[in-house]
Amino acid sequence: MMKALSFNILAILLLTSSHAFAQVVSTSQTTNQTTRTKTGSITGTVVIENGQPLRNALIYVRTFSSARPAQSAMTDSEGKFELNGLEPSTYQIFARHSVYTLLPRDEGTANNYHIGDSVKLVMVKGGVITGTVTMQTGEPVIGVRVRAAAVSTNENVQERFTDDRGVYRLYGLPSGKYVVWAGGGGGAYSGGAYDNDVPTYAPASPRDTAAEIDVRAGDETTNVDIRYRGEPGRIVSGTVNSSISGISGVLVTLTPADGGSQVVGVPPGERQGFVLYGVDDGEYTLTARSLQQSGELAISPPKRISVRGADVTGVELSLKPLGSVSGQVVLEELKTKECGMREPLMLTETLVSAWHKQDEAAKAQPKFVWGLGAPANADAQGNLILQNLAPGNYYFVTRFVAQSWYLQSISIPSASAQEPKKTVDATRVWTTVKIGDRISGLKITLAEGAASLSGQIELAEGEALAEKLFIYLVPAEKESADEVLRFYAAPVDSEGKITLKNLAPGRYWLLGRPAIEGGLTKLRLPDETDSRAKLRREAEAGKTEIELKPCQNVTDYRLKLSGQ
Amino acid sequence: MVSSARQAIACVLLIFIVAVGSQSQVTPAKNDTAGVSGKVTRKNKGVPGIVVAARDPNSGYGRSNYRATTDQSGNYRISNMAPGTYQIVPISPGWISENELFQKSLVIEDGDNVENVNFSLVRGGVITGKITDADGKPVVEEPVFVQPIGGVYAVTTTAMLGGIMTDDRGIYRAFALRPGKYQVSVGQADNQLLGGSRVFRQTFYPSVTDSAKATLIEVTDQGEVSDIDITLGRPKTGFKVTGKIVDSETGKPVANVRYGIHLGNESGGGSTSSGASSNANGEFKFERVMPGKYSVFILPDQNTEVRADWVPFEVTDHDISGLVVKTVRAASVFGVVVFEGVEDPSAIAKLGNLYVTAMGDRLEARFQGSSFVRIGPDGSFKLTGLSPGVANFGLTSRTFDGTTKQLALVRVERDGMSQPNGITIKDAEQITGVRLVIKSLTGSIRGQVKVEDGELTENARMSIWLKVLDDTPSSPRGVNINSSPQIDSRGRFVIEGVAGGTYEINIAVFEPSRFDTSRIFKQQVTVADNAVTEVTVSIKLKP
Repeated sequence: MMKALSFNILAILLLTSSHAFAQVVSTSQTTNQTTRTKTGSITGTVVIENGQPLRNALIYVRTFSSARPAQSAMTDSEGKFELNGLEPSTYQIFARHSVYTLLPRDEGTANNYHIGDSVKLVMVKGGVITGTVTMQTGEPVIGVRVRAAAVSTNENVQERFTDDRGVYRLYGLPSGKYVVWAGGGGGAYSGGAYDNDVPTYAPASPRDTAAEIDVRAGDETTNVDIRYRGEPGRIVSGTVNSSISGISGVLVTLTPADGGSQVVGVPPGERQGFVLYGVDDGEYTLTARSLQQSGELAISPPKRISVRGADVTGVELSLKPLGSVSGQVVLEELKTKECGMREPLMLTETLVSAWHKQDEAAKAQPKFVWGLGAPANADAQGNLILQNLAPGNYYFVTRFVAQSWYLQSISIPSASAQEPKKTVDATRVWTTVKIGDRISGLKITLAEGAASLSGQIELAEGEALAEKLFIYLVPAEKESADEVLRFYAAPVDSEGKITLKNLAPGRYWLLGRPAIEGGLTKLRLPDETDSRAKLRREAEAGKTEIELKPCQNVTDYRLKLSGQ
Repeated sequence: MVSSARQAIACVLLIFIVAVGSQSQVTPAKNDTAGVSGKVTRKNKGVPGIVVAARDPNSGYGRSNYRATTDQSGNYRISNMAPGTYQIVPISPGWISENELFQKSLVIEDGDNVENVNFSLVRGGVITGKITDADGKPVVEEPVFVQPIGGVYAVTTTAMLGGIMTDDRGIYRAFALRPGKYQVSVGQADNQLLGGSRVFRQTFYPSVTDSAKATLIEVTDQGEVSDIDITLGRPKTGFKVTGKIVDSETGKPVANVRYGIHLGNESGGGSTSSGASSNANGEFKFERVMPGKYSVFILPDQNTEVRADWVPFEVTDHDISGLVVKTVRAASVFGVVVFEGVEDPSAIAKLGNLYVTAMGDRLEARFQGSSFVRIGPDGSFKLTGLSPGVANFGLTSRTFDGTTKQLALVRVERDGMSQPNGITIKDAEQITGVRLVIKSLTGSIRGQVKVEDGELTENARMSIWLKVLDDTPSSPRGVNINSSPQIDSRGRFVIEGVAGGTYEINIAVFEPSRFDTSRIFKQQVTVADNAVTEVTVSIKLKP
């Protein structure tokens, strides 16, 4: 007992050491700000659908740039939790419970919170999938690992072993479609009897003809039986090469073209082998990734492999550093006093993310690679660095908390060799990041004096609110026709209320119409000039114009749709 | 026995294997010709479809591609094996071995074909039931302890599959239990309470907290005992313990320091750390701490360069706040790792991931972990966060390619002088000029145990270890720390990575049914570098 406990500490040291590296990067930033800012709390309650409090749910928050939770707490008997000692930043909140699962977020609401927020989380009893795994002879398959993956994300969500009757039971599953399989996928940690076999998907097949099981929260889906194929799987092996020094452990991921993934750890060294067992025939992408001492990640360019009735050996993966973009958030304060009380903007609560272009080139990378480039908060001086960006084209999204500020511009030094000192508008041109690029000089300008607009859709007699109705603001000045950041959109609620905040002052045309496909996200993509022009023509024809002065808060605005 | 520092290093290594799930073995080469064969039976009848694997006992979780499945008659044959030391074990979650020894150790030489490595299995029995709380609600994901009584504890199949735990309905099911008597319990004993998300007082079937009143459950082969239900009392909530970590000189809070809690005193007890760090105000907290005597400590950290004395406290019946942990500037050691007699620093660079650790002589160090840091490409290192006292150095490697693991620290020097008794350290001291001289361990011992008066019983087990016999007893020279040598069922053993020198081979014989009769046999052996030393150890079982 004693020994085991002291081992735990060492285990924690080692297991968290990778994060510790990442921590080094952020420490210098946080010490600066702690001298000027106070910490605060995020509090809240967790209830189940009927409003009853849920106790023993684990709640934790994380900043976007850290893999480690900043704070965690269990809910008490009243379902309450309190996360204290948080530094000003942007936090994501997560809730875990073995039986209950968080209701999915409403579309368009982001998981980001700040200190001082009070949060109400609703959890519902998760769904259950249960069944029996049997051999061709009808004998139960005992102690085989049964896994479920969500069809929508391709992510493995849960695994359990069968008992002596071959029965498995997966519970606490969020609503959605799942595939369930037994066996296969040998790699890290696994030395089981069935890990070298090909996976058998319910009811008795490879992945491509697997049954998709519909799970509803609170419901139990029974008899999801698996007739085990019991065929030996193939081996995929090779080496990971790295010329980068200070690598601390490598993970190799085998991603099937049609979902799920298999991960294996590789001991560090200059050139090290990896082996994956129990691989079925099919098309796969192999990717190696590793943490560098700097806290940045290195990955290997994706390698396509095809498994066809034989082992695939000698695959060589080469680790290359990912790219980064660094820069600054700049505040432009108003000189005049027309806005009255000034509302300070907390730079450390400004969150910037780099979004990749979803084109053909992006599909060559397994999905998880795009998740590595996490958003980053600026430090107290406004400096920020977006790390771990896979090669691709990016644009930047900025979130901040302060009503009287708006996003004015995003610029970046020109990548053109002819004009090295020129800057370009990063909202209208994709920023290209190549392997190992260290791009600096991103400048995000937030300006004081934002306007806001709220009001009501005025319906004519007999007119009803359309489904998914949105309100759009389009710049009316000719010279601002394609000023990306001046395009705004907001959903109209079920009572016809509209609210738009953080608007740049200027003249706008207002347009109410059903949501355009892709939403505001698409509207703000650098190469969507045509979509913007089309929306602008439509808005111009509607002839509803408004001028917003700096700091002007227009309330009780009445928008008639019938004229448009 | 190996020193405690070595043990700690071995733990680090073991844990790392677990952490990365290392694969020490790649696809078997075609020209390996050794093999193992045998039969798996139940009541003397062959069992088909059982996977039998040959595992490398030194590779952590022992993933192995050397495996075979039994045929219709229960026979198996593992072939194309490379020479080495293996553990042969059936991987059969639905079965349990009839006797206590499940796996068999084998030292296999090139071209060796070992036959009759047989296993006798039984299906075992089942205990199942439901765990509910005081309100009658199911207790979800609660570990259930199914303990054999009056026999030697053996790992059950369900334990191998992640332990016996209740599901979302509060139902548990323990299977493949060897026939015998069992005690079923849920919750934690009072002296093991370090807190957690939910702590139930240890409760035995049939819902009693006094183990003397527990009803034992008789399990038969292929029998199922159901309705072994337990109703628990209210969970213990424990108390909140909070405090602050401050700099002892300036009084300012120290942020980002990882801390832990220790139950007991510095010479015994248990420790835990959630990995949590002090916040910007230097605050730390522990939730749900059960009554008892504790201490708070901080973990050595290469980034903060501080250390602190333990702060003891006692939890009785209320929350505790206002504890103050005072940090002092810890000592640092600047040094370099060099190969004995090798001037070329690139030899060190080739070692890759080599770590230096320093273990203080304070008892607390055993619980709070030791400082460790990776050496630079030129062999240099800086170790911080050291406690005052005598520090002993150690090396650990995260590379498992078979070369760097066989390294020994020959000598610790400071300013050119050998430091056989370690280096004495004071707080805030900056110690420079330390050289850790290492050498490759190139000697090996290949041996055979001969029982002169009869044969060992089926259940007998032998263990082996080496003791250094040397003029300077503190000499860190020795055996490669990754290796835990095994004696196989034929009495053979191989110990690789041994430094040249004189050793005492110790062999102990155990029999599970008679633990009191462990017998230890000793024999001296002199090992030369770059050579294989053959040895035969004769033992007499009768006094």
